[in-house]
Amino acid sequence: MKLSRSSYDVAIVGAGVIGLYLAHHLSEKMDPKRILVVDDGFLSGGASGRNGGGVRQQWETAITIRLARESVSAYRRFGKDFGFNPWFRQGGYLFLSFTEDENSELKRVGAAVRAEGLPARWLDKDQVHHMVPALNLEGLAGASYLSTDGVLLPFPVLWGLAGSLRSRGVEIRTHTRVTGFKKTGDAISGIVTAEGSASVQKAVNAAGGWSKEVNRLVGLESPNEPTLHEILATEPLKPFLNPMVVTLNRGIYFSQTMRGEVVGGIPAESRALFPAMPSSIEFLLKMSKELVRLVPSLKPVGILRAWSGYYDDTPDGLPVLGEDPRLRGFYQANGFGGHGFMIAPASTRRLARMVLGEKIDLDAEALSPERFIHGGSSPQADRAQLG
Amino acid sequence: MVKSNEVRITVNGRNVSVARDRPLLSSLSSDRIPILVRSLKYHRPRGPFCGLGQCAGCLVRVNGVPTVRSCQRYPNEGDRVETERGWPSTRHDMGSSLDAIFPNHIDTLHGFVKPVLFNSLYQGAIRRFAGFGRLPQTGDISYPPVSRVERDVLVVGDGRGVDLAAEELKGLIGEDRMFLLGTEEGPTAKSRSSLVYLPPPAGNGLRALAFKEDESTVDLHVKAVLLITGAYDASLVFPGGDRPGVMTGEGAESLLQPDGSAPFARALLFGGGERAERLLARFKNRIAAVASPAGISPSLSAMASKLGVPTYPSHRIMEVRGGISIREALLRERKTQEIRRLPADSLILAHRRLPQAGVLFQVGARMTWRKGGAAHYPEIASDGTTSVPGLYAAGEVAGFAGSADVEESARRAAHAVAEYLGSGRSTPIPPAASQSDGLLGRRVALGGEEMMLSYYRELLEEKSRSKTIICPCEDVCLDELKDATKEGWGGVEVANRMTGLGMGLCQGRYCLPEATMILALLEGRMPEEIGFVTRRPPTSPVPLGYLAGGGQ
Repeated sequence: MKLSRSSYDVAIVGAGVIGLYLAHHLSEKMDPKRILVVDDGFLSGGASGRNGGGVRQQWETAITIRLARESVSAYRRFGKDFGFNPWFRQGGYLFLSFTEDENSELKRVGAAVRAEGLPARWLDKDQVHHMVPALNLEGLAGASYLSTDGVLLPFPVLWGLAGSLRSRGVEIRTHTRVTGFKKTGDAISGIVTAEGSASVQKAVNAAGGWSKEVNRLVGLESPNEPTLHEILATEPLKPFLNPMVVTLNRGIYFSQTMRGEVVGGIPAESRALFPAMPSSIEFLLKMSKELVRLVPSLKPVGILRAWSGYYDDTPDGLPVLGEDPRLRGFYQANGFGGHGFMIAPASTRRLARMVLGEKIDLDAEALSPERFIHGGSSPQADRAQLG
Repeated sequence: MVKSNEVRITVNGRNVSVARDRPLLSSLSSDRIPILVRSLKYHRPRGPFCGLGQCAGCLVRVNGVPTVRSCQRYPNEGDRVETERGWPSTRHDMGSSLDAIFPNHIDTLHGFVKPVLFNSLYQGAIRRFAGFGRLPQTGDISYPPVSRVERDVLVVGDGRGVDLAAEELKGLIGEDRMFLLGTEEGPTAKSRSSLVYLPPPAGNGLRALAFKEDESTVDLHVKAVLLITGAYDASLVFPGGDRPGVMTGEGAESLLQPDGSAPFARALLFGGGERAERLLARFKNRIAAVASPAGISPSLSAMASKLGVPTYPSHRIMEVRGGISIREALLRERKTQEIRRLPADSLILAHRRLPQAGVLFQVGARMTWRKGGAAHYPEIASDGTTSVPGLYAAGEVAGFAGSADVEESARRAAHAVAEYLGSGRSTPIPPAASQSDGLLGRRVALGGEEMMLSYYRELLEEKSRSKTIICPCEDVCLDELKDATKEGWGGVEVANRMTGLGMGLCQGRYCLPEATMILALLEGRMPEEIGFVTRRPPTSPVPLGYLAGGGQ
């Protein structure tokens, strides 16, 4: 089916949580019929449908904490606003620390979070044991905990946004590949898809793991790299785990879904070539070992399924948000490094303002595409990368 | 007095003696079909369904370990067996009032969103119903370490085809170069070994993860893999299709007692071909009637008439009625629309076979929707070569039907594997190789696409007064699938994520083939356009302990 119009004001590449939330914010301030969202796959086929659903506000940089806090309140209201229930359960995030170095790192994060007015707490071993009795706390030094962090089911967020956008006239085209763009001088002027081309005034690259490829279509290089991350779910159990548990040393994270499955991941060596999304034997072995080390009583519980998806990583671990200085009207909204869901509602609200030429209420220079063009990575890199 | 072949166990605290050499489920089914589980959402009663360790119909807690498939578990002296779902008991569960209070499905997709302040209340209430079992109390269980094994060929599967291929390969390359994964007869019980995961090849050769029960977890490095994983009886969607007593042919076989008796006396056998005939021969007068969605083969007709069993060709199952057990089945003649009520205490599904093809999806073999079998089959050449270098398939999983063809395909594949090992050269089949149905000239038997589509078209036209469960593992209703289709995003991948269909314990083995055709009808497309959901590893749920490397 061909594109329904020959011109749009804004074309967004990528119908993940970033692209859809951006379209949502734009549609509140402009004619929804002038917005096009294009995605090569099915709705939820990329990282937005493959993540563990963690939404946390424990970060090191003030800007990320603010974006996350605002996003948490958006997810709390999401079901009421969009008619689909994401089951956002605020069981908190528990960052476990096993060494002095981790202690000081987590305490720094905790201080930054408290400075933004959020009630992050430092828990000792007994308090952690009381919170999750099933945890093996051997060698535990302490933990950082924020009760308003939580876990959601990612899919309903996509259904809710896409359904609401479509009913308001935004054109959402899944299973439609973008094959190129048109430029006039130093500005974007059109988009070419497998279903025809259209002239556009602005275009946004919200393609997640595919952002590097999309940038190349328009002749831009970006430092983003897609990296495969794997995840698994166990058979559903009665609730025993309220918070999301994360360890800094091994990088494991896991939580329990509303269905009762324990869902979690750990970084593992994968030889997969982008965009293949296999699971690896290395991951299954490593994740099993680490999970039963932390929760020994899970040993006889079955792994139900494993899957994988791509993070869109940047050198400094911060997303790229804003107009690309090399091409007028072309905006970057990518590089979320596996944390897109956590800050999507708030960060795309700022980007929507930038696209519409409005002033934004925070200093987004740290996220600007410019930082990778004029040498060096941002000094504000956020080291709280896990989970 | 305990006989030498018996062990003493407790079932919900009661002392019983059971046979050591057959699965727990069989012993628990000596007088009636046991109700061991309640469904995940609505606490509907569930009985054994698949007999293959896939479904959620026979889960018990054994020695504190939840979700043990009793159809696969051989008992040990002193085992503590408990049922976990339901209060005060699994048989009589107050939780099932939920099912009665909400005659239509509970809409967790859109519902429970207002007021926002009640979010955590709703979540707490819904979470109470989650999960099949409690976390084990202790991690004080030891598992064997993972060992690395290098061989030339891995052969996976059960049955005559595997025996033949193994025999052939033994002669061609020698026994010590092979690794067999399947079910072996041991001194007291069968020992199961199974493939956990066969990832797409990366670099030289293939790597697989497998575990042998009570023995070891094996990290296998091989040059070639031969899959003869067979086929299984398909499920069918109809109101009441999730009632205890509705089961596949394999499910019925798993309830068979050593003396030839079974915990049902008036079963309706649904199917008109070779498979139904084998089951009739096995259960004889425990079958009260034979019905089929299409014709009934002459030999099945002859056997039925000899046993005095009535046959009903071209009938659709309208509904199965009853309480905790089945009372009657309502059939509709597919042309005249006439309704027939049959008293029955169980229903055995044997109307079509599906390839056990999960591993082929995993390893990345190119699959094709085949109209004859109304399922995805691997693209293969006549010698079993697939699109993946070093990967071969034979038997029913590759689309061969009938024992002669299955055996011939296994022999041919064994030779192709040996040749590959000798030359080191593999010629994976080119795309779109000829894929006629039944490669050795036979049809994949009853249950072709056309028949199944017309069958489900009639189901969708029928008004149903209550929930029609399409995915019993996750309690997904047909209405939810219809609602998902109305959202308009299309395809089984979206339906799966929107409804939870296929996300349960069986990973969609039973619901997805049916849902693919129902979605095709709802979306007005052909089944091959609906797509498929990748069968994710592991092949079937495997305890974390087996992969954690043992120790402690």
